[in-house]
Amino acid sequence: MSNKKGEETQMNRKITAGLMAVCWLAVGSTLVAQEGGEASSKVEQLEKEMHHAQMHSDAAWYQQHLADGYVEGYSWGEWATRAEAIKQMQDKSIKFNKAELSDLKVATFGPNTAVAHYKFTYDGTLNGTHRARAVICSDTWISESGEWKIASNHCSHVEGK
Amino acid sequence: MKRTAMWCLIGLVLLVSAAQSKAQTTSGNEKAVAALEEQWLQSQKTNNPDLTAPLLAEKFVDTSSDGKVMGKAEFLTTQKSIKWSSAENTDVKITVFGNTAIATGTEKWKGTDASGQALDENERWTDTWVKMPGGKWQCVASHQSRNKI
Repeated sequence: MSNKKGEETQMNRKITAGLMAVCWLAVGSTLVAQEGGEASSKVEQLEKEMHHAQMHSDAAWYQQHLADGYVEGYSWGEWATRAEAIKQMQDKSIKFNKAELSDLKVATFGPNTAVAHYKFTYDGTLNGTHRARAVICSDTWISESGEWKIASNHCSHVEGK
Repeated sequence: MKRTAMWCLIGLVLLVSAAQSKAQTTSGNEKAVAALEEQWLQSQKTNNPDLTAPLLAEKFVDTSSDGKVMGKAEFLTTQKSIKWSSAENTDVKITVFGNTAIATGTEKWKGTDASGQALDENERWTDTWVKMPGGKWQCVASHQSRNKI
């Protein structure tokens, strides 16, 4: 009789331990998913801010959000460093007649890395050259001490001149 | 006074060794990513895409120089359909940001596609690498564009 009770108690303990493990796993997965979702929303927001900063030659935004070591690959086949990208933003001669950001998608990889892909269609004059084209871009964002910064940008020419 | 100086010295030694350790880790990570980039290039030079597959994360996204966006499976299928006759990387640079690394470079390659059409490309590329929880670096995104359009 007491043996049977002992077995039942042991069984109950095992079930409780199993349930607790499942609960912890569920809580952990939810937290990770939530973290990824929050990071994704934050990066989407930053992409929209960057688009706004680009349209308004807001070099201060770039100063704040470009990581040290940032690299940019322009769709016309040139690289730019952080300093060169900021310098370009300070160029008040850049004019956009049309600029549209579309198909923005953000994927997160752990708590500190996110990659954004999007299409950018524009008609504007940059570095004294008129360009009317659609480009497809990839941006890599990194979180440094809780602050998201862009580490790289690379765009490819897909339509237009 | 002596005790304060001793603590200051210990603090300084710890600070210097921490900075050295961080620099060594960064340098080690750069070398690790450079080796993986080399493996990727070798997979093309030897027409062995099986060398590329383990380098790519499951959520890997490739953006090709003609603007096509592909996931891992489609990218590997495309790689398998190309027959490379030559491939060379130049100007490869790697910057490590904690558990993320950005590799950039230029690649000139020649080959033929599945239909036998000749390919002769001069591309710039940016690869995003992430150190996975197990400590292994994997590429999560690759972007190519043509040089000087």
